[in-house]
Amino acid sequence: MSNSNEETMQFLNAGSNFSDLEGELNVPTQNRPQSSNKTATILNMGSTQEIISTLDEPVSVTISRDLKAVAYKFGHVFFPKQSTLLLRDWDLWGPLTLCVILSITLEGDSKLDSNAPEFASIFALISFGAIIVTINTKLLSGKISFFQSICVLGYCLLPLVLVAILNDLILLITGNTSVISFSLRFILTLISCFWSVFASTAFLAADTINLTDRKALATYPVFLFYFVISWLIVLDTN
Amino acid sequence: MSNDGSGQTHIFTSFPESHDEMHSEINLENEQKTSLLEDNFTSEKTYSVWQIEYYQKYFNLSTSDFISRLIGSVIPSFGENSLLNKIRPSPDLYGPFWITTTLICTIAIGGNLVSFIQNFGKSYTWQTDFHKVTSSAFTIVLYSLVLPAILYVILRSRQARAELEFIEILCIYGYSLAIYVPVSLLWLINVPFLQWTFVLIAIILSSSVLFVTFWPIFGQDQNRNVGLGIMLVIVLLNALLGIGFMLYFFHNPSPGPNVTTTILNQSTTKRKKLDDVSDILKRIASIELTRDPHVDDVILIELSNPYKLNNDFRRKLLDKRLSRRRNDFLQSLDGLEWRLSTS
Repeated sequence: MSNSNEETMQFLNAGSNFSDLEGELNVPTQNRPQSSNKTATILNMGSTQEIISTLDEPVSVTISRDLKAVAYKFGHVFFPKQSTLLLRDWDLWGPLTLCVILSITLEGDSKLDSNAPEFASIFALISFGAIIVTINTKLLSGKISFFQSICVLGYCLLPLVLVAILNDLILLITGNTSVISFSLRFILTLISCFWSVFASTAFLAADTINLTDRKALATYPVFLFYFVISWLIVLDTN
Repeated sequence: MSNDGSGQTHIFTSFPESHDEMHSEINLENEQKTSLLEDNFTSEKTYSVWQIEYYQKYFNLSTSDFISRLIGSVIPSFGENSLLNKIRPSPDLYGPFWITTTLICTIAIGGNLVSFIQNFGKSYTWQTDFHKVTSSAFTIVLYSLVLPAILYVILRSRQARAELEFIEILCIYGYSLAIYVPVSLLWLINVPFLQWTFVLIAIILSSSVLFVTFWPIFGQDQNRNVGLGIMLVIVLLNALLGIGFMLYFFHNPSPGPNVTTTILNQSTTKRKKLDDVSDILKRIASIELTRDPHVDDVILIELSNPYKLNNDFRRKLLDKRLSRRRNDFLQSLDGLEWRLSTS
């Protein structure tokens, strides 16, 4: 915190220097110190640093910062622990990416098999599933916003996405028909399913959500959601 | 110096206490405010049908409530412990919704697994049958949503004072499906006798729960025969549902001709070849044809590529499949099988 304060002080100093220079260019100089004061007060209140002028920075910095935030959240899913990170700064980039990757991996070749799942059906299944589970949590009077829950459910797809990709690799190496490869894929998918459930409940069933005596009722639909997706992963033999 | 230090620490220890008191006061105020707000909401019921809070009263149950209702829906009992008594204070929609969803999933997945187990060990491409999901979902929703609606309409039209609300009938019907969830998993044991036993147990339990719950209400009908008739229909539909699930999803005999019986006394290399042939026959028979014969041809050739087949023989086989519907094709294979085993 102190480090960031020093940085902002440097930044403010630099800003005041610029305002001195730009005084000649007929810029409303009197407004400048005020606005910088505003940002300073906001920073002192302990708010996020992102408020400082994202307009002036290069696009690459913005994108890399967002990517870092997304990667940091992935890390949180991979090593689940009690934290409010996914709830506080929710975003839908991670869920969208994971959902698209999963749909592409699970998509079947409809030429060979008319019953194979299509991209759209898997995408719809995941998104509507997440929405229904979210509505269920809200109906059980959990104190969580719609997009917070979607964000958590989406980010917690990560273990399943990894296993879906791994599945394709196993199929490529061992082929479709062997029993060993099937059981290996089955066990891997089962583990990742429970990992997803565990990770998402670490966020969703936290005490702040206020689901005192109905945590199990809120967790079961989450389990069902991930279980159906894992089922699709096991079935995927393309 | 030491005195000063202790004085300072004294000040510091006293500070958090007062802060805590302030905090707790604020908390108290907040609690009072929130309780006032809640009172306002519960007394005025300002939520409209389009607000999610309106439906929270149908999801107002604890885990232990849910478990006791589940047990009540499996074990029929009268009086104090009856299912109706358990759901009366606040009929919920959580149970019905998630029980039916679970049932749709277990039946679709189970039906898939059964066809996998039946073809176990043979080189069989395991396919998702999404039509099974759709049809199981359609049947279950029809049973658990439309039937309660019809029952409610009958109840309202026959009796001046309806003793059951629609939501209660819906709740009872949802919970009465609970027994089929474990049974649909037990159906995976692919022994017909056991499958029939399980379905019989499920139907008896589920129907008796429905009977025990609805008989006191429909039995009061002015015309006793009508009441009996309604009960009979309820029980019959339940039995139909159970038997239908089992026959449609879990009891499908493996498709394809029975080639394996004739090849037991052949040499191993020949047996391997005939195994391949039986595999490809099954795969060709099981594929759904499109309307375009050219596309079908391409699909079939691609299908038969991995097998080392005589080109003439393959062509004959594919032509046969293309020119016939599936059932005809399967019937025509009997002769083919004979020729294969003799050559």
